[in-house]
Order: sequence, then structure tokens, then C-alpha cells
Amino acid sequence: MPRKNQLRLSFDGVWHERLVSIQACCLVVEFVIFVGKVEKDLFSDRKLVPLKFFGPQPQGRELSSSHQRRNNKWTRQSHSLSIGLVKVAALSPAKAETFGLMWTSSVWSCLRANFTSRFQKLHRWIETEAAPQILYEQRDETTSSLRIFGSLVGTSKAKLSCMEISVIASSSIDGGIGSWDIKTGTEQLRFKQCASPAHGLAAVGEKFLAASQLRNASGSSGSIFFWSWNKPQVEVRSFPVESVKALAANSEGTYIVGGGASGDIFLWEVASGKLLKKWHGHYRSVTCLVFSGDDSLLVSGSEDGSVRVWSLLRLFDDLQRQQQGSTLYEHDFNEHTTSVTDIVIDYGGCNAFIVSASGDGTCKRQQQGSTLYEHDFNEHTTSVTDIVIDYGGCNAFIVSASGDGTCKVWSLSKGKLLRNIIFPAAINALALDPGGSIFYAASVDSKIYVGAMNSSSDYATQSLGSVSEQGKAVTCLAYCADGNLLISGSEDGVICVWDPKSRRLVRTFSHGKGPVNNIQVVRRTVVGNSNKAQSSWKKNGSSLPPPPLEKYERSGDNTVDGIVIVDPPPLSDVPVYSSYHSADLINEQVRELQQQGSAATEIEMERLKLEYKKSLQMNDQWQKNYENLLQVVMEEELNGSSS
Amino acid sequence: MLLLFMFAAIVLPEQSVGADKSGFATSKKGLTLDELLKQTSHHNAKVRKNALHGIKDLLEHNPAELHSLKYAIVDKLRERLSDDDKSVRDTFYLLFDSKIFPSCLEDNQGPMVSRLMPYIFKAMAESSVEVRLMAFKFFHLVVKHYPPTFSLYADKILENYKDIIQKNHFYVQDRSKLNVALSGLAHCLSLLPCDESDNESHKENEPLLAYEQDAANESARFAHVSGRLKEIVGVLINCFQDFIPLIHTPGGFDEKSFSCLHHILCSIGHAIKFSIRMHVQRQTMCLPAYEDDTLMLLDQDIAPLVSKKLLGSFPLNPENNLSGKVDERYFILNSVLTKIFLEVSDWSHLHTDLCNRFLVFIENTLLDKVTRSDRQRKPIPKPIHEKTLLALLPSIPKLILRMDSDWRENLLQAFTSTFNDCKPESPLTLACISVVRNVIIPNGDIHYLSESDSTVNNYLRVWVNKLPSLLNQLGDKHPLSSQAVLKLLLDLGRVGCLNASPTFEEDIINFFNPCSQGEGDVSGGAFARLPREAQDLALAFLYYFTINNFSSPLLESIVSCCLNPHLEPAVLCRIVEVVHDAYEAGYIQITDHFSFLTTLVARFKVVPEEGQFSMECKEQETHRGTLKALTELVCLRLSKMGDGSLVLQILEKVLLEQINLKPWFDNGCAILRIICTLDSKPTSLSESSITTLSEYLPGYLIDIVKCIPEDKQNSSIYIQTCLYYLIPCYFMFERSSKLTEEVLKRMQSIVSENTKALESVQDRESGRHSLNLIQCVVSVVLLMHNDVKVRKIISSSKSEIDLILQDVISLQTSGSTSLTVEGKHMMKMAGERLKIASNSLVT
Repeated sequence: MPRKNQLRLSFDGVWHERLVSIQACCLVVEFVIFVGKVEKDLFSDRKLVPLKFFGPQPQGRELSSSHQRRNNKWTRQSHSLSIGLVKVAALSPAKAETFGLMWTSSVWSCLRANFTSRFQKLHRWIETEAAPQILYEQRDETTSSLRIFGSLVGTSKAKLSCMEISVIASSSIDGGIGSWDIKTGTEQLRFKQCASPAHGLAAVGEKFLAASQLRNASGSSGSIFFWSWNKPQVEVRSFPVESVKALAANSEGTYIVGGGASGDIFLWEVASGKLLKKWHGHYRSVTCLVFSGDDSLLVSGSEDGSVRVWSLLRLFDDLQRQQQGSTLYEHDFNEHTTSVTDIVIDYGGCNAFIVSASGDGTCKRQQQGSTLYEHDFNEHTTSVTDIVIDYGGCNAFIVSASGDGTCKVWSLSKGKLLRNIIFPAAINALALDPGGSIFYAASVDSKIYVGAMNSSSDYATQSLGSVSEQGKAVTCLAYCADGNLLISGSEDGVICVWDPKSRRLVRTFSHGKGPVNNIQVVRRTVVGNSNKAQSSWKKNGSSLPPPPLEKYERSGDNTVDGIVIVDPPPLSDVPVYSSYHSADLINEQVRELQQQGSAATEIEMERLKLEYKKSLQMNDQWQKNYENLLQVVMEEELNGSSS
Repeated sequence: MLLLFMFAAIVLPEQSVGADKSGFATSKKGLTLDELLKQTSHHNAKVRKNALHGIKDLLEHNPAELHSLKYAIVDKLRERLSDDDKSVRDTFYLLFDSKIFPSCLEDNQGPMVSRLMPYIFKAMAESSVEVRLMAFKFFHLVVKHYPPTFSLYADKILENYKDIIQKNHFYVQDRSKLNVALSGLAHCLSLLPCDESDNESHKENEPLLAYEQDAANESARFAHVSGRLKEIVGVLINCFQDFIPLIHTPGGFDEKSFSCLHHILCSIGHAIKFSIRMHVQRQTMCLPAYEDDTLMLLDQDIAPLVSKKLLGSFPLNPENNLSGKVDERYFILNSVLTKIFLEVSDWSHLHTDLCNRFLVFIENTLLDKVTRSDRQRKPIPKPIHEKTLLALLPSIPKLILRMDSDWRENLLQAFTSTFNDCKPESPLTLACISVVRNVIIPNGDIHYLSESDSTVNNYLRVWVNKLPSLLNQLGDKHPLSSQAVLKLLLDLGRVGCLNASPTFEEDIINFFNPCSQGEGDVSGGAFARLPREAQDLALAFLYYFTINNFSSPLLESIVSCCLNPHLEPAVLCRIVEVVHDAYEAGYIQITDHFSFLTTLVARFKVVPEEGQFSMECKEQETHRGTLKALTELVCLRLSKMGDGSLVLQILEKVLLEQINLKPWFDNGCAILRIICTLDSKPTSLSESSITTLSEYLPGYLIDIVKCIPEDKQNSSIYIQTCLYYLIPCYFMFERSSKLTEEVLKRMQSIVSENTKALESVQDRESGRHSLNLIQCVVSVVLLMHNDVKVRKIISSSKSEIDLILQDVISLQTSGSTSLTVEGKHMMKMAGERLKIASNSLVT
């Protein structure tokens, strides 16, 4: 490679620190590359800058040798570590370009503290799961800044790719859940008996589908049904205390969250069916629930027009605090980036205001011990119909749509309204473009509008296309990052797949007569035969359906010490109950293990010991890898500065 | 030296043309500007003064001169600021005040000010007190015309102010002199950015997803003055102390002292407010800290001064009974002190006794019980009282939340009385609404029901119940206040805290109903006349209101609101949408919703005045387009509500009842369209419905044909318009052959009846009428024939058409006297066309 055109990665001191912390957490899953521009007129022409990424073939000597014995998941790990070797070639001669790598993790909050606010100011990032190639370059007309989104995971993913991506859709009248393969368009299994409300369909991990049900004449209790992916019949029926409308599951499928008609929000653990927490979230029924990209935050929208942001960590924290009899509200820094710089308490006695400020630029002025939520966005005048959250981690944007015909963009870190975009008609659903600067809004007048976050006008009139001639409303949207497809469902039961770039219809599926009101893109790993060595309980767990969700919070056992994280291989092959479990569940599993016959236990113990040893070795390897990486980077740095 | 330079720089016209004065602007005395400017530095004061007068005179007559030579003039004149002679200085001030600044308003004054400032500072440092005062006075003038001046030179200016006020013993005898400096200072400090909103607003459209600009914002520019402000506050408080003896003197104090005191207190208030704001901002934004950057109120030196010397002297009361004017002054000063107290009490702990004194004052002000003095008991004049209230009201919610229960109740009581007393047109209304809002919804989170204190809840309930009647009082004259009330109602509705009383509901109903109280042309509820934003809020509120408070009077009032001809079409659509949403969410019964939709369609008035008939009137003049859109909307909603045939079954009776009433053909068309949307082929309508329809349709079809002006029968626009009305009929004909038959039969009988009438009746007028009818029927048949599909449908009833043809032919040949030549010709034409049509039906 010609050195001239080569941009190098420069890791400054701060970067090292970050790497160390990530290393320590062992939680690196994916990474993103971004180009931050320092000089104003570096790329002065407005053409698309072709950018090539070389790698991420490991080039370091030791690294490649350490590669040989690895199975799939391990390779993936080392890919993310070998980022330091990625070469990026750009057309223009490198000036003072800073080039960095951004790491995301599934347990984001652990890492959050390490990103300074300065860093956040500079960059926005996007998850790389999206596409195996450079997505595109984006240019801000106003600030002439340049962002390039790309993904390096693609190649490594391709190796693993037994991924199957399907579209599932349900309707408000009993039409079952239809599923289609997005690539071929063939219809797959149709799951029976489902009449779900809008936002009432969720994929629970890769194993189950869950949908809240509309039909219950009695009205006293709701119902949530589970289907297993390979059986069309309902597998598990649960009946929560009240009718549940919105439903969401975290990406691992360990928790399920339901929003009730009274505004209560329920949080269940899927594996045990336990109702971990129930709290009063809104004044009126909850219309939609969304997890943030890293599953640490829950955003809920309600019929009363408010959008609230909940930190799952804090919800449990607060619970504990209440148990301890303490009422003091405390700012929780897991959600924010830097430490508190100042706290002032005024003289109002029990009604005092605490003003606490933290380095991440947020300030909470809250009445003591009063609220559970992080933010309460209250500008919509009527029911919130959909919410999307972009990939910005703790600095993300939240876009909410409402029946009042507006979409509002909120900043998660600042907790305030950034934009208000007015559409010609009420908006039913939203989908976010992976670039993060535009979103698609499905309206009741059968059009899909394109909303731009940065447009100078408050009115959005540009539309992608119209779904039907008769003015049937578009009711739901989903974005499939693989292949960049937008999927819309409309009231006449037709599901359309669009290519948003060319604004053309790619294909259509027909769900049936009733209105489609839920669409989800589900990716599932087709389980290969390679992984025989599964622990017995895991096997049991994966083959058995989960128990029904419980109605009430268990009050007896207060031994819950929050949520523990079992350190898993980040990409386990059967990721049903992979990473998080409540302590209770783990205790139970331990007990189970102990109760089993001694021989079995011993075998199990042996196996576990072996695994433990393995993981110790792994840990060593990791450390080595890191050191190698560091060394390579340093060398590069030295070479760079010397040349 | 300076002068030389000046001359080099100024290219005066004279230099190029020589000493010839002709063609140049001159003053009364015949001097050119150049000469006058030269004279301003003359050693004789009188000459200087005259020169300045001359310039003023000259500029008055030649304003253009000033524009071209602005800088030259300013550069020369600025030296006169520190002139020894008082009259020269005064003339100088007058010249700038009356001429130079006002005429430069549109230009960028920055460069001019920067030329003046060094001289102003020089003059401020002069030994002569008079000159210094003039400098301050002049500076105040500059700031008035160009406010950014202060922010540019803040530090130095404040230093100078501090200096002159500190040495006040020089002119303690003459308050007016001190007042010059104090008024300028108060003005400057009022320019300190104290409101959070003012620098948020222009951030509005900052691009997202972009690098953040590190541009220094306004408050950062003032960041370094906080130390200076502390000194100033100290000096001002001491100055205030000097006035204390005066306050307690029997005669009270005079106008000038009052003005001084007022300026002092205002300045302190501004400084404290700014300091608090900076402090809060620094915490939230992580601005870099400056050395002397502690909060002023937490400063060891300032804090005791403020609490003891300043606030401790509250209330300022005259020793003796005095005239009303003086009493007002005391009241104003007390209210400024109270404002400072409200700022300070957030941050520092004040003595209970002192707090109580302030709270009593606040309570009395709210109750409007502050009296001038014991003897006179005259209330404080309204404007002053109102102004004070406006300043105090924003702090009331904070106080109510924070006080112990005794004081809380007193304040609630007092505020309730203010709220009840305020007139719709007064600015207090808006302030009161925001107080109500902030008490009920402090941080966007509701406090209404969670509050355990029942007394508080009672007060809150009273306030909330007053809102709708306030809304009706406000009418459409005060859209801002209406909007605030509606927003509050909406927020209350959203969280389900309305628990409405009957009067509350009634008021809401009146608000929407445009003719409830209407006598003559005065319409009732203000809804229809409010601006669009307020209407949107009202409709969003309506949605939540229907949840618990839906009643048929409410629906009636909404319907009559929808039928109001002044309502914008978009709002009408929005209302239909909101009602439909409420229905979908289960808050409105299906029967109510059906009747709502059908009533709208059946009753909507297309033409405001009866009798205007044809389609001649353009779409804009009538509400025809609106009705079309409405019909479409209703059809869409109805088809969404369930299986078409089921919905039709429910609606059939109602719709046909409406048809029976023989509605205006536009409404008829809308109803027919609804039936068509819901019906399927073959029709599911009952026998009796078919009969009703067959009775209505002939008249309907004739009405349509009547509307087409004869000469435009073939123009495509008209045919298209006609089609809109004809298509539902065609659909029905297609779905029910019986209906086709019946309708044709009826038309035939119309023709034969009229033929008979024509043969017997001699009256010209009725003859023409009959002839017209026949003509119309023929046109209808021809129109139907023109459509290929319908031609097939009517071909089964060829016999009827033939009968019509026979009648027409018989009429043509008959020797009836009532038939004019023209009429005969018409019939002949009709007969021929009909014959062709009839013949083609066979094939």
C-alpha cells in the first residue's frame, strides 16, 4: 500500500485506557469505524469519497498464530481485537485526520463511563451489524462535516452466516402470525391463533415469538401467547393481571416487557416466568415499548402522549433502595458519562430540590425521591404511536411519532426536544435509517414519508411512496439492515418491501384480509451441528418451552440481589438464555445440579471444571492478544511518526 | 497630531473643488460642515457651542450628509465630551441624542461606538465631577441606542460605575446627579442575560449529527464580571444604607431620592439574579471556573450584607401619614425588595421573622389589600399593582410547594382571590394560568392527586373547575391565554385528573357549540374562531375529555361545531379523526359514532344561502369540496369499522330516513355514496329501502341535470362534476335491476303526467315548468345512455324509455296551445335524440 494515501489509526492515551477497560470487561462484541474531520475543508468536493477498508485480516505475527486453534466465536473475538491493524485508504492526502474506532458492547453501561463528553460531541456511530460493506458517506451541508459509516464485521459474519432473516407480521384480527424469508420471499410457517394489538408482537431471542392478545371479552386479565419457532401452535399461554398492549423483549430474549392498559409496565424474566418488577409507568395505556440498542434503557410511549425513558439498572436499584428504607434520590452515573461535578441542596426541607450536575452535561433538578424515570418527554398532544431509538448509545436520539401528526426528535443525553417535524397526516409507525439522519414515517394517508433530522423546515412532505390507492393507512414499518430494505404493512393486509434508496417496491407479501399491525425483522442463527458440548441444563432449557409469565410480583423472597451477569461466550451458539440471569435463577440451577445423581453431577462438575480451565486459558490469551495489539499499534505509531 | 490625522482621513468635498461653497450643504450662517467641525475646537466656548448648534441645524436639513460623513463627524466631535464648558457639553449631548443616534439606527453602530468609547472612558476618569457625570449620562445614551456596548466593555464600565457611586458623598446633596449614574447602571445590569430562554431560542436550528460549535455564548462573555458585580452590589447596599435615614424622615422622600432608591434596588436585583443564573449554568454546562466565581449569595462578604442590611430593612414604611404619591413609592420599593427576597430565599437561609414579613406583603398584594396608609385606605393604583403582581406571580408555585401548611393555605387562599378577580383582558390572566399550571404540574409530572394535603387539593380543584368558564370568558379575543388554558386542560386530561363537575362539562360543551348562547349573529363558543394552534390543542383535549365525560350534549355541540360554515375544512377533518380515534379506543359507543358520521354528511350545508342552485358557483364559493372530502373520510371510516354489509344493516334505516327527508342533492349524493361503499353486488338493501330510493332518485337525477347550464352540456368539466353525482346511482342500478326499473318507471310517469298537464293547462308559467321537467328527464335518460355500462343496465327497461319517447313525440305532434314554437323545437330535438338512443339499446 502506498504510504501516502494511507490513513493511520492513531491511538492517544485516552484510547489506551479505553482498550484496557474493554479488555477487562471482556465484552467487546462489535466495533465501528468513524472518520472525524478536523480540518474544515479537507474534502472540499461534494462527491462521494470512495473509501476502502483493508482487513480486518490479522497481520500481526503473533496474532495470526494465536488464531489457529480457534473456533468460530473466538475468531470473531480476535477480529474485534485486531482493529488496530485495519488500514484505511482515502483519496485525499491525509492531513490532520483523526481516526478512531468506536466500540460498542452489549453491556454498554459498563463502558459508558469511559467515553468522555468531548468524544461524544465529536462522533455519532452506528452499529455494524447492519451491512457487510461500507454503507455510505454522509455530508452535512451546514457544517461540512463528514461521517463515514462502515462495517468491518461483515466478513467475519459471513463466515458464521447461517443467519436466516425473516419477516414476521401479525394482525389485529385473528390471522395468525405470518412469516416470510426476506431474501427469497417464500412464506414460512404461519403461527396460529394470534390477534395482537399494535406493538404487541415481539421475538424473544431466537427461539420464541411472543404476542399479546386482544381478544378477551372479560377484560379482567390480558393474555400473552408464546410460539416456538418450529411449531405453529401456541406453546405457552400466560395471563397477566391486566390486558397488555405493547410488548418488547431485549435482544437476548431474557426479559420480556409488557405495557398494560392502565399504564403499568411489567418486566418478566423469560426463563423463569417470574415477574421481576411492575411499576406505574404512565397515566394511560402504554402504546409502545422499545429497548435501546444495548438493552440498558427502555423507552415507553403512552396514550397520554408522554414518552419516558427508564433505566433498567436504576429501576432495580431504586427498588433496593426502597427496601432499605432510604428515599434519597440519587443520580445514577451508570447512565451518564462522567462523574458528578457538583451537588447543591436547597433549604426546602423535605421538599428540597437537589441540583446535581455531572460532567456529561446533564443536570437533574428533581424532587427528592419522586421519579423512577430518566426522562419524561411530554410534548405530544395525543397518543404516541411509535418510538425508535438510534444507535447512539447514551447519546442517542429518540424519535417519537404521534397521532397529532408530528414526529419529535429527543436527545437522550440532554433530555430535551431537538426537533419537531410536522407531517401532513397522523403517523402510525416509524423506522430509522441506519445512517441515523433520516427516518421513515408511515402515515394514515397511505404514504410513507421521509423525515430528515437536519432539514431546515419543520414540515416533512417528501414521501417514499404510497402503499395503496384507496388511502388505506400504513400501520407498521420495519427496517431490515441486511440489504437495506424497508418493510411496511398496511390496513389492507399487504406487506410491502421497499428499497428506500431507489424508492421502489421490491416485493409484496399478503398477510390476509385483516389489517397488518405488527412487523418485525427477526434474524435467527440456524444452529449447526458443531456444538455438542452443551451443558445439560442449557439443553433442557432450550428444548423446553418457558413457563408461563407470572401474574404478581413475588413478595416472599427478597433475596434478589439485582441482576447478575453470567459471563458467557459473547456469541454462544444457542443464545436463548445466554447472558443475563437473575440470581434466583442461577441459584435454582445450582440446586438442580446438586440434586441430580452424584455421578451425573460429578461428570458435570468435571466438565465445568474443564470449562473453567478453558476460560482461564482464554483469559490469558486475551491478555496476550491485547498486549500484542498494543505493541503493534505502538509500532505503527512509531513508524508513522518517524516516516 | 490627532487633528492632522483627522484631516488627512476625511475627504471633504471641498478639498477637491477648492473653497467654492456653492453646491455644498451649509448651515443657516452659511458655514459648511467642514468649517463647523473646525470651529468645534475653537478656544472660545461660545464659538464651539454655536458650531455644534450649526451642525445640528445643518444635519437637520441635509440628513444625507450625516450618512456619508458619519465617522468623520463623530471622530471630530468626540473630543467635546470632556469640554470644560457645561453648555457646550449639553449641546453636544443634545446633538447626539436628537440627531446622530436616531439617524444611525439602521446602520451598524459598532464602529461608531468603538470610536466613542475611549473618549467616554477618558471623560469618566476626569477630575471634574460635572464632566464625569456627563460622561455617564452620555454612556447611558450610547447603551440605550446600542445595547451590545455594555457586553463589549462590561468590566471597565462596571469599574467606573463602582468608582463614582462609591464617592457619592460628593453629591449626596444633589440626588439628581447621583441618579444620572444609577439609572445608567440599572439599565446596564438589566442587560445581563438572566433568562435561560434567551440563549436557547437561537440554538433552535442547530444541525444535529454535527460537530458542536464551541462558539462562546453570551453568558460566557459576561463570565468574568462576577467579581466586579460583587463589588458593585456591596457599594450599592452601602449607598442604600445612606438613604435609610431619609426614608424614616417625616416628610418621606422626594421624587429624586425615590428614583435613586429604585435604581439601586433594581440594580441589586439584576446582579443577584445574574449571579445565580451563572452559578446554575456553570454547574450544568461545566463551564470553566473563574477565580472569583463563587455564588454571590454564598460569598462571605456579600451574604450578610444582603440579608441584614438590605432585606433586613424591609418593609419600608413611612413614619407619618403621607400623600398618596409617596405611598405608592414605598409600595414600589417594597415590591422590588420582595423580588430580591424571592431570588435570595432559594439559596440562603433567612430568618423566619424576616420571611414572614415578606410573606405578609406577598399575601396582601395578592389579596389587593395593600393600603396606602391607615387614614386614607385607598388602594394602590391598578397599573402599579398589576405590574407588581406580574413580577411576583412566577414565584408563587415555588413558595406554595415549599412553605409549611399555614403559610401554604394563606398563599393558596390569596392566589385564589387574585385568580378569581383577574379580568380576561389583563395580562394577569396568563400569569395566573401559568401559576396554576406550575402548582399542579411542577416538573411535567402531575402533583394533583398525589398530594396528600386535602386543603391543597380543594384549592386545585377550584382552579381547575374555573378553567372552562375562563375559556369561554376569554372568547376569541385573547388567543394566547386561551391557548395556555387549553394546554393546561389537555395536560390534565392526559393524566386523567379532570374529575369534572357538571358546570365544567357544560362550559366545555358551550365552548365547542357555536350557537348555544347565540342570539342573532353572535355565536356562542369560541372554538370555531380561535387560531389553528389553539384549535388543535382543544381537539387533543377533546379526545381525553371524551374518556370519562362523554355525553350526548357534548356530541351534539361537536356536531353543531362541525356544521359551522366558518370552520376550516382541515379542522373539520381533524374533528372527525379525533372522534373516530375516541371511538376506536372505546370511549364512544358505536351508535353514537354512527349517528355522528351520518348527521355530518346529511346536514352539512354546501351552500350557505338557500336557493343558489347550479354548479355555476365555483368550488371555492361553496363548501362543495369540503363535503366531498368529508364524504370520502366518512366512507373510509365506516368501511374501517367492520364488515360492510353489517355496518350497512345497522345504518340502513337511518340513512334512508335521511333520504326520505329529501335532502339537498349534495347531501343526498353523500348519503348515496355511503350506501354504495358499504353495499355489495347484489344489493343487500331491503325492499322498502329500494322503494324509498326509487322515490328519491328521479328527483335527484333531475336536480343534477338542472344544474348543468344548457350551453355547457358537453364541456368535459361539467360532465366530470356530474359524474361525481351520477356514479353512486349507477352503482345502485348495477346492483339492483329492480331499482333501475322503478326509477325509469317513475321518470316515465313524470313525463306522461306533464304531457297531460301541458295538453290541458293553458297557463304559460306552469307550461314552461312542465316542459322543463320533460326536457330534464330526457337529458337524464340520455346521460345514462351515454355511459357504456349503464346503457347495458337500462337496456332491460327499454319499454319505459320507449314510453317516454312516445310521450315526447305525442307532445310534439299535439296542437296544444301552451306549447310555444320554441318548446316544440325543443321537444323535436329531444324526441330525435331519444329515438337514436332507444334504437341503439336494441342492438
